[in-house]
Amino acid sequence: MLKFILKRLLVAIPTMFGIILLVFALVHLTPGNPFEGEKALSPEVMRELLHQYRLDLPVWKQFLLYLNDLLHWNFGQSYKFLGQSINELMFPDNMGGFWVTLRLATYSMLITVPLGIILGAYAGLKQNSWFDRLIISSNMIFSSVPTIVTGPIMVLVFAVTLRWLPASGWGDGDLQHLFLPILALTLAYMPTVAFVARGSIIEVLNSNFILTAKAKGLSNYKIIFKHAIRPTLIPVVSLLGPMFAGVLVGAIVTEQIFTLPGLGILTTNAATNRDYNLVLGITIFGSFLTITFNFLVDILYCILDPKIKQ
Amino acid sequence: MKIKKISWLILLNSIVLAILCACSDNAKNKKINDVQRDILRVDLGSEVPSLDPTISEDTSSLRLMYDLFAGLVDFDQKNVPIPGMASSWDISTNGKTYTFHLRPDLKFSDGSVITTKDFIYSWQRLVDPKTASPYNFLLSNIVNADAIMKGKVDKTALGISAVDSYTLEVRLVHPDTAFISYLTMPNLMVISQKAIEKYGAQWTKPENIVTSGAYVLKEHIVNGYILAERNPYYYLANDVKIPKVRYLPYVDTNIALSNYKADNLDINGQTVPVDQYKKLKREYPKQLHTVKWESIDYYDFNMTLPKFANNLKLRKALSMAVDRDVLTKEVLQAGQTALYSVVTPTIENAKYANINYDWAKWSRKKQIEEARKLYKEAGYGINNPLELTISYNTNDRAKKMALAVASMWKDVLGVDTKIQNQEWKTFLQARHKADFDIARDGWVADYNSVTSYTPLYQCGNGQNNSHYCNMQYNQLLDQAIGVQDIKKQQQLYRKALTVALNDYATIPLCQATYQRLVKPYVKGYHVDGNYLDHVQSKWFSLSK
Repeated sequence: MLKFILKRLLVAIPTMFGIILLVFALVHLTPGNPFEGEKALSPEVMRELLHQYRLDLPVWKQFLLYLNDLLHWNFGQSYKFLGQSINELMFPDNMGGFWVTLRLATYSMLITVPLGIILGAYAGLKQNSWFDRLIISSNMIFSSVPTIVTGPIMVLVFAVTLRWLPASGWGDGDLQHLFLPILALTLAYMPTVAFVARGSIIEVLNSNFILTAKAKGLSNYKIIFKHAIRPTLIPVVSLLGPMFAGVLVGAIVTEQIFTLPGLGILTTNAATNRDYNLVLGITIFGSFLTITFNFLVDILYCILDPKIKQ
Repeated sequence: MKIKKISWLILLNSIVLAILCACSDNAKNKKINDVQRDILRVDLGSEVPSLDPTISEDTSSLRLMYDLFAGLVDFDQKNVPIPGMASSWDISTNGKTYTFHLRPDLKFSDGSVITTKDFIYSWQRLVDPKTASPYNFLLSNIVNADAIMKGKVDKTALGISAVDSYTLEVRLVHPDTAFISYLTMPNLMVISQKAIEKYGAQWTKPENIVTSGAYVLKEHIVNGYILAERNPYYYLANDVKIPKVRYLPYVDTNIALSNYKADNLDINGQTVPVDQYKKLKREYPKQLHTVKWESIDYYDFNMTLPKFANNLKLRKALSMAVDRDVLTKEVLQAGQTALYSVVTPTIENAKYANINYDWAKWSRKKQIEEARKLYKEAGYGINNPLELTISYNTNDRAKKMALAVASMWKDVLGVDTKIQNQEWKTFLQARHKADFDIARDGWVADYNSVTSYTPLYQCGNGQNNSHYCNMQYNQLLDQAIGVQDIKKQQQLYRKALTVALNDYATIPLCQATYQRLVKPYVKGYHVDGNYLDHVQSKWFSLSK
């Protein structure tokens, strides 16, 4: 196991370096400088700003200094939010940035994953029943209608028309403010989990060892919870890592629709404001999360199915 | 088995819901959409890049800065400068020395006294090259300011001094009648030296900040909200009626509108969704205000290209061929007004409103005939059509305008026009380097003075994107700047603007509007005459 972990770690390091190099190069290849705007700055002000942000140095030197900053967990300074560091924006002392997204992702995953597995597995067990058909058709509907459509509809119904819930915002992180975003995320991700779980349990139930168990006269309860559940979870687990990382850095549309001060809205604003340093920071952090979660999933995978180690 | 499954499901969801409820501190005590009468909820239109007034530059910052900070000069709802922290001021006979008399009871939000020293510190910080403020030019007419900004002289040499703790003397290089207008800008407002020196760049955090205006910052969640509360030490604290203001950064106008409709917002940002403007006008006739904004939309001719620089008739024909009424009423459809001048008719309370193209009053038919005649005289025709490219930054509104203008040129003159969108930075760079035929342009006035617009046509000015240069225009501006007699100065500005107008280096298109939704219980907001859209929450109250 240790050998496996070490091997994975050795692959992760050059991958991360490659990503940093690529994103840094892309950001620095974009035309113009970040302080150029509609209002022309005097040459003195421009010079001072370029100096303050080390942009007057050769690119290779900037890259080495940036790498050094990253090793000290410092993502640099924002070009847009003057005087603020990227770390402060991404991980603020108060609620905001990554902490908002983490809370949102955790809550929605806590609902999505168990509920998705249960619904999917149950549909698989009752293959071709009305429940199975209901799950398949609702899966198809919700996976084909994106959050950009469901989100505003929810706002229109629950906030503008019925006035039960606020239209947007974080509030105090209370249930009333979080209900709609969590529902939107759940509807976006649950169909996939349910679908994978359904397919997996059908496959497992048709495998030889389950048929043997049945032939030996084991009860349905024992067959499912003792023998079928573990192999059923393998494809679901492989889905969870990238999915959780995806929600953490990719709940962009949900955060935008419900104006939640998380990492997603920070990303879109960074892109529209051309805050390249912030884009760089979020991309690197996102890659770090994806690599980490994939790594954790690989370990979990090994626990569930020791064959994979080999 | 079935019952077991369902029990599992219920149990699991109960756990999740219990976690969610536990995290909601005040969920039970809150009634959603209940209008809270002690808090004003305002949309800023975007997140504020900085809470430091010295370096603030964008419109969303202005709205907040005017609540948090105060300066020598205040302004009313028609943007007219009025006494602020200085109860009065004297101007010397040569117009070069201003003496401000401060009120005796001025305090920062931490209770410390504000004296002339604080203003000297604030202004010296603005011109300090290390501050790198984009608005340091506001003080460029003060003695030694230019040299300080270029790093040649120390900031302490700035021509501002304290006669005593409550009398401030400012020495100008040349007289400037617009100087008092500049002082309404947030960059010149008084800031706390103690807070800045103690906390450095962190001084604008809610726990560290010291303000001088009607409100003090209490909470700030980036991209979430900003909460400010009444500053008890503000010199007019008794006149501030609303205890709290919550500022929201809704970038998407559709989201802002949903919040307004759901009673989560009292005043919107600068615009409503274009496709809903007409419907909203019907639905909220008393709440939706369409106000002329002190800004202009125009196109630049690239005056470094011989085909434009040497052909006044062509420039005139192209300008005349644009039907501004169709552009504003049929294409843009948000109350914009046609523009036939290089400045807005509203600037300085309509003092320059009658500087217009004489053909603006002609019938459309006559305009078309004259445009065709000029086009022909310029050397172009059906067999020899002009080929052009309109460059604009990727934006729906800019695209609509470009398409409309291109089709008008095709219909009236037969010009073959391509439209080309560019990424913002690429576009700015191309415009800066004169790498275009015709480029989209626009300008928002910072203060209520014609000098907000005059640099746009000045030789060598960084804001002159058409790269036009007429030394006569520059000379007239130079003369106007040094004149103390207001009427004479106005005459010189009028002459200068007429020169720029008749040189046709730009194609004025329209004066933009802002569309402000205001809830009926917000009292005291006289939005319709506020062309600069400089707003202060202290003007308002919330009715019971």
